[in-house]
Amino acid sequence: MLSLDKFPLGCKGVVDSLELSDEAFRRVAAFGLIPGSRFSLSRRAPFGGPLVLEVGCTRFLLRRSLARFIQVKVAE
Amino acid sequence: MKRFALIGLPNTGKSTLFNRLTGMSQRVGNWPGLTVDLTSARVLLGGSMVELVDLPGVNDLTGYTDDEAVVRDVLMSTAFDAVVLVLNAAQLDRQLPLAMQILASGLPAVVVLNMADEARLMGIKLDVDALQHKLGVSVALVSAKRMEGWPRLMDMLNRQASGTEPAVHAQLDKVPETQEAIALAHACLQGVWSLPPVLPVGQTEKVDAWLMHPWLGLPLFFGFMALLFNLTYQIGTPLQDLVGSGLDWFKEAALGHWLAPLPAIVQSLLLDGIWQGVSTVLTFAPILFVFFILMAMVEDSGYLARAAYLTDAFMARLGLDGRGFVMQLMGFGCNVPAILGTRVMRERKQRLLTMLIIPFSLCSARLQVVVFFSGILFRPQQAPWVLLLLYLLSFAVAIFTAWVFKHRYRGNEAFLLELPPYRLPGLRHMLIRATGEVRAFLELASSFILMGVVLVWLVSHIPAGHDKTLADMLGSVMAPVLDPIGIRHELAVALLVGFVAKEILLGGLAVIYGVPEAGLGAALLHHLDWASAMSFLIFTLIYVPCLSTVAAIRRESKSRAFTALSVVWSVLLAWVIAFVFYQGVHALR
Repeated sequence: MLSLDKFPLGCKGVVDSLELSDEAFRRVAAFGLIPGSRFSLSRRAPFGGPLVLEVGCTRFLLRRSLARFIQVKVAE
Repeated sequence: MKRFALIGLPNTGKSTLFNRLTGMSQRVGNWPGLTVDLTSARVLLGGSMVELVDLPGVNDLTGYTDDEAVVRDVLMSTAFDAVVLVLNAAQLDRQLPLAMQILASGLPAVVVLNMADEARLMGIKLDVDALQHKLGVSVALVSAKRMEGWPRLMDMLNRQASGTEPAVHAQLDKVPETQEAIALAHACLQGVWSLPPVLPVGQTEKVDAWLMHPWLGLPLFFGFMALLFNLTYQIGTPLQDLVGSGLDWFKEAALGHWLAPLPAIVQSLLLDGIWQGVSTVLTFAPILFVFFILMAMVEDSGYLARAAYLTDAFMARLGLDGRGFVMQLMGFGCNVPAILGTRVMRERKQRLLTMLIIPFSLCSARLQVVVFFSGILFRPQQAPWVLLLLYLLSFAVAIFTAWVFKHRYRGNEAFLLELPPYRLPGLRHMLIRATGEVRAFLELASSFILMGVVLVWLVSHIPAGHDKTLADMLGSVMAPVLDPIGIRHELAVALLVGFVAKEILLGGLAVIYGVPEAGLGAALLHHLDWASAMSFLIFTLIYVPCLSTVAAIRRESKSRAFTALSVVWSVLLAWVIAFVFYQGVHALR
């Protein structure tokens, strides 16, 4: 298990847990990122910029400062 | 009259659907009891008039973002006959939870699954009838952009509008929390909606390989921005000049003659005061129109989200998000549309902080003044470098302002933004949007600017004894403030004129020194020394760009206090920097 900001680029993973406030959880969940959901990390902006994640047909930006609090596993 | 609410997540094509259903009949108005503007329009459905209200895009009915609060407030305070829920057919996994919350609220609802074309391309399996059966409400699968599935949609809306049930308020206490809504939605989607095991690689990914490239992305972004900027002015400026000369022609050819019988002072008020104000506002219209067409292209095509991706690392350090960068850059053309454009940011604090820094972008009207001054104060070889330095100064001031206020207007760290697939923007949608924006701005600015122009006219025309005007008195009264920054007393009026619009500042200076504009350079060199001319220029660069910008800030922030803060802060900053410059030069001499 590792936090999302350390996740290898181009890999698929499964969300394990989100250590977020209710409000932040709602925002993240609105993009489909909830415990058990599968995602892939397709891009990482240079200079510590945001990550691009894909969940289903949805692609979205997520800041690394938030990704730190999301625990994930690499999918087999 | 019946009332329907249009609800959906951001980026579901809700506005496109709204425009399709209502056309040009829509109007933007203040919602009773709320400080938000909502777009609404009347449409004939099922034999009765229905007011269709476009609510802001929301992810979740239980959340606490500004938009979510607005939607909750509207649904609680107003009874609706139905909710038209717009969802992206390709993303039901994350969008259906909102439907579960709406249905639980007791509001009658119909569901529109939009972007049928994209869902088809993705290879998504969807059984509309089975979903309709499971949800217990009518469902239509459409593509609002291509008007696919329209007969079924119109039939559904007509049936909903011909019902006889009374309108109801939402029972928000019955709405399930996020996690529960997600669980309900996933259960509902079982066997009804599914993604293919492997999603096809679309055009979007191929384009993104270039536009979001780690090294090429930023240069391409700046290239696009330069193009956008140039297009706005290549198309907008000739139109602006055309409108300007048309208005001047009307003033000379017709208005002057009609008003000739009136006393000179009344003529002057009407022509130099009120007409001047009206023309200033109207000449903004073409540039705003062009800007909003181009901005709609950037936003609707999906590129704005890519721009946010590329610039977010830098902007996050300033407490802003990447979209603010685009607006900041647009401000270098004209601050007014940039301020209005901050509406793409849905969080109020982020918008306020962005609005606070945009006025420091050296806009084209100020550029005119800067170019003129650097032309007379510096040698031709030096002038371009001075110009560059002044651009850097405007960036530095903006960054400093963001740094000072970022804690006060701290945005939510939980910044997430959808990267939609690239879409071809619809021409009709862009036209409707641009027309609406320009109209709304003119309505507000006309009264606001008129007031300012008349005020300046009064100050410079009302006599105050010893053949002096209020303006001269103003200079003397302001002396303790102006002397330390080396600005001569007679220029107090020029600063006041510049407050209205920088476009008329050079003309104002010419009037002050009683020379034609062509001889202004020589007159300024004669009256001002180098340091005090530069100090005047620096002050002009940093203080309030123009009344139209103030009007735009007032309109978008809906707060007098914030508007005042923006004005006071920029004047204060201008003074401090001019002071440091002027006193510094003197100390060195």
